[in-house]
Amino acid sequence: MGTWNKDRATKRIDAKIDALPLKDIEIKEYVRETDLSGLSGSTAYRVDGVHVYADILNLRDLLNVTGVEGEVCHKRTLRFLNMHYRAAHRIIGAVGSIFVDFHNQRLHTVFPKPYDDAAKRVHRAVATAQLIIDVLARTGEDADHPAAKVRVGIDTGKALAVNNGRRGHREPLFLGPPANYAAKRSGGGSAPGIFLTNEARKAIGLPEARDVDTTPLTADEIAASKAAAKLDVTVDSIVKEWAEDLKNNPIGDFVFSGHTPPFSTLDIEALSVKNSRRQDAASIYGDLDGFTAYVGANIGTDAGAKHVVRALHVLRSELDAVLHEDFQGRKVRYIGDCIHGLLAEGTAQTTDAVETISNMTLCAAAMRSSFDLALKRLKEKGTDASSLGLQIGFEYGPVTVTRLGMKGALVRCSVSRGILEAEREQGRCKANQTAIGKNAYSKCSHGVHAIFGDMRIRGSLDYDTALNEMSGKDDKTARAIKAAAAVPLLKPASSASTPLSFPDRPTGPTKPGGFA
Amino acid sequence: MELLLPRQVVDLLKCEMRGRRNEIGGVLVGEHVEGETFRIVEASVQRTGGSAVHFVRDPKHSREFLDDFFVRTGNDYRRFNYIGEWHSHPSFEPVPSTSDIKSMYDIVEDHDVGVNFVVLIVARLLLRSSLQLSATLFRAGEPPEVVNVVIEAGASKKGRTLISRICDFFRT
Repeated sequence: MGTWNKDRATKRIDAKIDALPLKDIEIKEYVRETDLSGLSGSTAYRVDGVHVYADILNLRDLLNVTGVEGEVCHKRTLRFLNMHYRAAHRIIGAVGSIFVDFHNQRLHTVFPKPYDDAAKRVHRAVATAQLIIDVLARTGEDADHPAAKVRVGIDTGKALAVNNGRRGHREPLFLGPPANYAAKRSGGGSAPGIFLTNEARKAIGLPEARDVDTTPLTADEIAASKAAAKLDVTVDSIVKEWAEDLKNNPIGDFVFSGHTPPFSTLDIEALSVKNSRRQDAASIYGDLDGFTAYVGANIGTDAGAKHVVRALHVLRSELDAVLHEDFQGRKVRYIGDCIHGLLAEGTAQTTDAVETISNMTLCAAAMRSSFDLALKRLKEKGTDASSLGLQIGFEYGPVTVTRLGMKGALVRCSVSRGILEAEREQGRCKANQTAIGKNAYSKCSHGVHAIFGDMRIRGSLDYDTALNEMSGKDDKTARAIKAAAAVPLLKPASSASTPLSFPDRPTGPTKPGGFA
Repeated sequence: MELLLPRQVVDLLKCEMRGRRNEIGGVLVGEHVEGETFRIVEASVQRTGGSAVHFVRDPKHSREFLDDFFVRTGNDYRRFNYIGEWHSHPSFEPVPSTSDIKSMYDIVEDHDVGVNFVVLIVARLLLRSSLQLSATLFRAGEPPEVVNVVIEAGASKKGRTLISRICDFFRT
């Protein structure tokens, strides 16, 4: 159970802002063979490149193949993703693009080469996208799951590459319109295919599309790009290497165990197929609204770009701090300007659903309080990011946490129906809204129920509002937090209430009691 | 409320907490002395189920302890009964956390438990020998209240080491 405190958050935010003085932030142009791995937090590169997002459309089908979201369903889904991560890893290595991240079913890769030729880069990206589609169709052939249905989004332009994550989970993050628009195209519909933005279409001489989300490249257009790109790998060669690798390094059977809460003590970098976690938990997505426009408006000048870097690091790290330090949750990853995290209360075997959801509600509300506070502190220190908003969605249910992919380059993966729903809930929010998923809403306390109402969405839900409204409706978690805040002011026990006495029968606790 | 804490119980808690980095705890049984005065008679000690920041009390472990206590006190429940919980805070101030408070309300508001109050003692050992503790009273629907604790003299020296007796000599 966690709490949020304004003074503590202010100190944390100020320390982060002070650690990133504008004079220390370097904005560099990306030049040949620049190494983007292990970027420092104060360096950003302006990269002119083509961004590719490949989304596996039928992941939700796979998760819903059984009525109950049990171990079998999760094992099949993770095995499915593991095979695809390995295949995609080979393709990226073969075509020489930059691997950015695999966020569950969504791959992000960037083509900065060939330098100074946007058309060739787009052709190369299209040819690679088709290679991904063809390879993923083949790598599903002999497994106990369907072949992947892939939808690819592509855009071109300048983006800022900054450091993403910390310690063992550090990779470049690309901020700006091309990364965002490519992601939007891949998530823009349910039809498979390759979808280019008009900017990317223009780069290879294609006419503008009236609706880019319903205009996939034709077979002829793809063939033209493949001919222009002249990739020196084929579907057969990739599949052959992949099959050999699978034979030499078979995907072990997934072994699940529950993590004893709090999740803040979970070391995700120690997880693997044989050491995966699975239990009921709340998952949350917090996304900075308007960030792409903010980057687009500021990326052109070094001064503007420095403010972007500072705002991003301060806001994201504060959201992480609220989740991790204040509420003992665990960030799974940053996805661009978004944070994905998990939180649970109870034991490794039995999650306390009501308390978990109450705690997550307070955590989401605390994130908004900290976000508002951080915008204020940033503005006072010269960085005006007041155009940004924060959309938050969360859901409750069984979750998995593990790492998948190639040995030596494992990628974090946390997937389940609830996690997909949490992202969907975040997606239906406007700038200042918080939404709760259907399952969480059906299991929550009366206090949480009252906060969100029938639409399961609430605007401007900050910590004080959530705490007061929940405790007013007798939410046990909120009430305990309020009582704890009053402990230093407690009066000695008086005898004004019912006299203290023992009943004439044996008493004692009947359930496990959690203390901290 | 006044809570009498016999020296034997103090010594037991000190002995159990010494050298432990993980939280330990258990249930408390007490005697209704008179009016609003209660005495802690014994404390169960569960050495497993704790981490540096968390402790989970196992009801099976405490059930055995309570059953034995009720037999030894002649099933005189109005006088001798379960009175609450205790656990250690080796790394933090010995005051109830929000999780502690929630758990105590869960107990006092649980009809299966059937009590009209419970006490929580949170303790820690300073410099390996000095006991710091807080005692808090919980009643259903009411805010927690600080309990006045009186350490009762008359400790039994049985089983105590020579060093601890020498230490006590210099402390007093």
